[in-house]
Amino acid sequence: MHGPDRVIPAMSMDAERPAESLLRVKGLRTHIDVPGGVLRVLDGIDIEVGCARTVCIVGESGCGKSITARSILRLVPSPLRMVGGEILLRGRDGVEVDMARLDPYGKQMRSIRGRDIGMIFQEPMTALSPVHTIGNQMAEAIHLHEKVSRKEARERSIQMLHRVGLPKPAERLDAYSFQLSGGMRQRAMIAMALVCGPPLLIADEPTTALDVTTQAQILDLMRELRADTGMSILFITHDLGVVAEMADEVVVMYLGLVVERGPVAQVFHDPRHPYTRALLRSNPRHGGGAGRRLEAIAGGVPDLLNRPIGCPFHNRCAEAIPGTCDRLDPEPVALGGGHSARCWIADRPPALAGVPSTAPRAAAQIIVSPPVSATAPPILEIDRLSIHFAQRRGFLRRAMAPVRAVNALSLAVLPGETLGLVGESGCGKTTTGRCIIRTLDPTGGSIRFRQDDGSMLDVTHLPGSALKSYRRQVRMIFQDPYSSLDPRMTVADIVGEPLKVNGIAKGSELQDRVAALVRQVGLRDEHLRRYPHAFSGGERQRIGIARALSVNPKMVICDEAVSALDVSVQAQILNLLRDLQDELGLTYLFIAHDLSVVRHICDRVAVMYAGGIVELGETRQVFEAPRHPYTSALLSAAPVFDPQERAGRQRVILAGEVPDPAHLPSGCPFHPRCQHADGAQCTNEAPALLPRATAQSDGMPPNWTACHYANTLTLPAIDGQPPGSS
Amino acid sequence: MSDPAAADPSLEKARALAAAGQWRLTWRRFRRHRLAVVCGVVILMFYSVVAFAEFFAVSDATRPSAQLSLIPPQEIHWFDNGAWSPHVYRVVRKRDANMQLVYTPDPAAKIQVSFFARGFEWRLFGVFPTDRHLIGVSGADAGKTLFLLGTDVQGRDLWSRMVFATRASLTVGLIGVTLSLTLGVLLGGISGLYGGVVDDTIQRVIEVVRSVPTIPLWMGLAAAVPRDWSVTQVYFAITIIISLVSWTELARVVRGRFLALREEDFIVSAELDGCSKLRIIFAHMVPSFLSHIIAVTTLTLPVMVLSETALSFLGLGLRPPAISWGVLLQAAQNVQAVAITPWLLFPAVPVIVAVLAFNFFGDGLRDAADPYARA
Ligand code: SF4
Ligand code: SF4
Repeated sequence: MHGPDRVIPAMSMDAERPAESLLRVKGLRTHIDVPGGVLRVLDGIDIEVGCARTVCIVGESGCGKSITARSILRLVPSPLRMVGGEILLRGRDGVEVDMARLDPYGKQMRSIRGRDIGMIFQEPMTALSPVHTIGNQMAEAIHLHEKVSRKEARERSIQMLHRVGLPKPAERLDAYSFQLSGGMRQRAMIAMALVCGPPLLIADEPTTALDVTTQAQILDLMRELRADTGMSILFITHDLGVVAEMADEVVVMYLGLVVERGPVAQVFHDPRHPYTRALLRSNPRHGGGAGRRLEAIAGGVPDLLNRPIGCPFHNRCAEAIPGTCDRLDPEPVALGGGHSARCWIADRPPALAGVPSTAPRAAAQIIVSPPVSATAPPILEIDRLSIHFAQRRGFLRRAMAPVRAVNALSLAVLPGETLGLVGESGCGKTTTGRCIIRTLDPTGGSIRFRQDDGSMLDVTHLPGSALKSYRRQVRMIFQDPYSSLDPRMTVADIVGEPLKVNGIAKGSELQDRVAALVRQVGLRDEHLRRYPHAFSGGERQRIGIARALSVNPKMVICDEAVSALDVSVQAQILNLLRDLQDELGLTYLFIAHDLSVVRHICDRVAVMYAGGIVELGETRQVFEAPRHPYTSALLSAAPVFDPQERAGRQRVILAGEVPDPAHLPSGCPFHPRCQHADGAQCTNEAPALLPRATAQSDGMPPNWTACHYANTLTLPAIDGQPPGSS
Repeated sequence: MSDPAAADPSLEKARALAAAGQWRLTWRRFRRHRLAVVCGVVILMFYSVVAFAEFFAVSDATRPSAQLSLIPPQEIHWFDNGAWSPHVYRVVRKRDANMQLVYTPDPAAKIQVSFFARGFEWRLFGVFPTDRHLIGVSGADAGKTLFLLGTDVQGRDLWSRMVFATRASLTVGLIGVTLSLTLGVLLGGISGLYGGVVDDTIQRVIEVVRSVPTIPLWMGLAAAVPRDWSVTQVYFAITIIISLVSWTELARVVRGRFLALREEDFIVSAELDGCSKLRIIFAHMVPSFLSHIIAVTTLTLPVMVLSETALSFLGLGLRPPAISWGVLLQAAQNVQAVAITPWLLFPAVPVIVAVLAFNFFGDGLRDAADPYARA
């Protein structure tokens, strides 16, 4: 990238022209030895990355996509071992080397890593050394591969940091990784990976740990860098939205096999493998707005130990051909234009426009959600709630500025609705949820809950026994299905615990009720005696839901209840939550950071920023006609699901970072990042959350917005139309 | 995780594993640790010696006999003219030219050795009188002696003394660990559970205790034990002194676990389920770190054993007529004695073996303790 000899000619981005390939992986196999056999983690992977192309590998957890990246880099951790295949990399001199033949830690391989292939990983904190400055690490990377003076190395590092958009690069060069924020760290990581100008960049889930606005910044940066330098990118992700944003070509993996590959538009609009189709359809983004049932894939990704015989997908496939698919493993079928799928029926276009769903209920059924009457009195009222945490530091415990996690937040939850609470990490949404359930005490304000008799119960400072009965009416579902179940109790004990300790049922009545609950969430009686370790993430989340519902609550707080799950499983759980709501008339407070999930399941949405609500309204209204600049930026940062739309879209890329809750900006907390800030009123006066009618709001109640200029600004929304179904 | 409905030959096994509780999983993981399992067996053997010391002893370990002073170990001959007939040669006591006592075996005088032989009378579990011993000489004749590991200066059988010393040393460890466990769990639990001032106070106390160098502290405390106390009194005093120092480690572990668990989602959800504080502690928190406590305890035991040995060796711990490994090793303090009568160093062997066994066993337990650790 520096010096004429290192410039790689930028190839035409024309998708029609077959690009010369930079990396060709053929029949890559990586195994792991277990007592009594081998597990085929990668079972013959073929990948081709053309010059100046972006190839995305997509798949759910456990499909082997990260292992693929590591195998290509020859960095497989033991006990995994690469047992076969070719990895041909075209060197700078145009000669192909087979990396599979090189000593993984030998001189040649070491010089390829870093100089010919740059790498970035999901968690930059672990990839960056905490004891060396950013500059030292970059200089080391340069010195490893080139003979340059210290001064030149430093200058190139500064240039590179500047290139990746790190403000004040000369200063940052002497910073340590822990002094940077998540987004900055990922930028530094990219700078380090690219400082030697490698023609190929391998990025393993580089944005998964980041917030959506930061993710948009990083994806933009990667696109720009690719256009400038003409490098190729092998991008590994589980997020189909990111694929649609980034990829030229897609490789879909399932259980260590490539099941479908092809140009991104073709794979998205004419997927030929049932797994790809199901993956696309189970995504809430695909389903569009609320009200529609998602088409979930049955079951979960099987353990490699139980890899099905025949087509590995046949036990979850809705189109499996009995007698064929469960006995014979299909070969990849070429479909023209570089598109191929590994399925017996790949060459037949799907018979039905809508793939029959494997969900327990009928496909794509429109569910009429119970009308949330605007006149019904709210079930929960939060009035000017503040939650501050005192900070003390040092030996003498000097008081520091308190962390103002939640500031004067007011919100009313209506009975029977699903209210979404969205925002980026650190905005105070989880803190608010924990305070409603009173595992945290509020610093100010009040929380009131409507009793059966219509009276309001003040739960702000509710003491012990009354709190216990309140917590029977308001329950919580946790994010992490692994840590939220006591690993030492059986499913029956976990689900029965609230019934037991509240003295609601015992003996055989307890057993019957627990069995009924477990069936209600889609598990079987034989699961009752098992321990959580025997279940997958989705099944554990079902157990968590059964526990929450055991005491017949009125309201359930879902704290990121589906964000730890794979897309296909996420869809099952979202459907389950919706069914249970219809059956039991539950009210949900749905805390999430994933906008597509919120858009799918919520009736109303509250957008949080810096501990306060900036916008509140009907889901459709908020998504299609946002009135607050932050909402609009958040929406446009979310990846669009349609690869064809990415070129022409207008997006607001937010600069900067979420403010530190210990030092919130004056006036409107969003003003340092707001494009519309006026520099006077915005800086000095905090805007109130008020209803703002808009021209577009045809009869719908107006959004409540905390912005001085909400009535006058024209803000982009996301396209209201879901992409045309394939 | 596996889909239990999938047809699979190992279905039964998977089912059993799915319904396996914490202890079964821990046991499965522990079993894979070969060395730890072997060490566990060694520890079991040690404690069976503790329980049945008299059975393993050959003779009364306390009666001195000037005639038998410093006899070297007697070798057992297992065969006599090709036939199974274990025996030892009678030793003949002589003075050599330098007037030094020498013992020479006399091949002509064979003493038959038998298993489950009769010997001095003792009571099984302190109740049932018996006179059987694992090994002994046939016929109760004062002239027939068996000194597997030789004798000490006062002519007492070293093997039997070591057997009784094992009882003393290993019980000091056990009682000491129990004491420090109680203290540690109680104070650590209070500290972790209540936090605030209570926590601060307890933590400062721990820091102070830990900052005092142990040997001088023990010496000071041991010196305070009155000289005229009986063997039993001294024994308990020493146990208490040792455990007073070692509870701090356990308290820290327990406090740390409490603090970590308090934040765990499943504890929060137990609170939301309406569990009382006591139920949260005893039904949810304690089971989840019990295995850790057991492992830490196992690792504390050898420290106790070593402390007792060190104290007694320095003459500050148990004193004769009590017998412990440290007391026995006192006899080996003098280099010259070791050069001439090396068998007096034998008591060091069980110390080393026991300490190593406890350490490996504890390591294995600790690794197996959390079957749910997601590494
Ligand atoms: S081969 Fe059969 S089971 Fe496999 S994906 Fe195709 S239709 Fe489904
Ligand atoms: S009040 Fe001003 S700074 Fe805040 S969002 Fe509105 S325009 Fe932007």
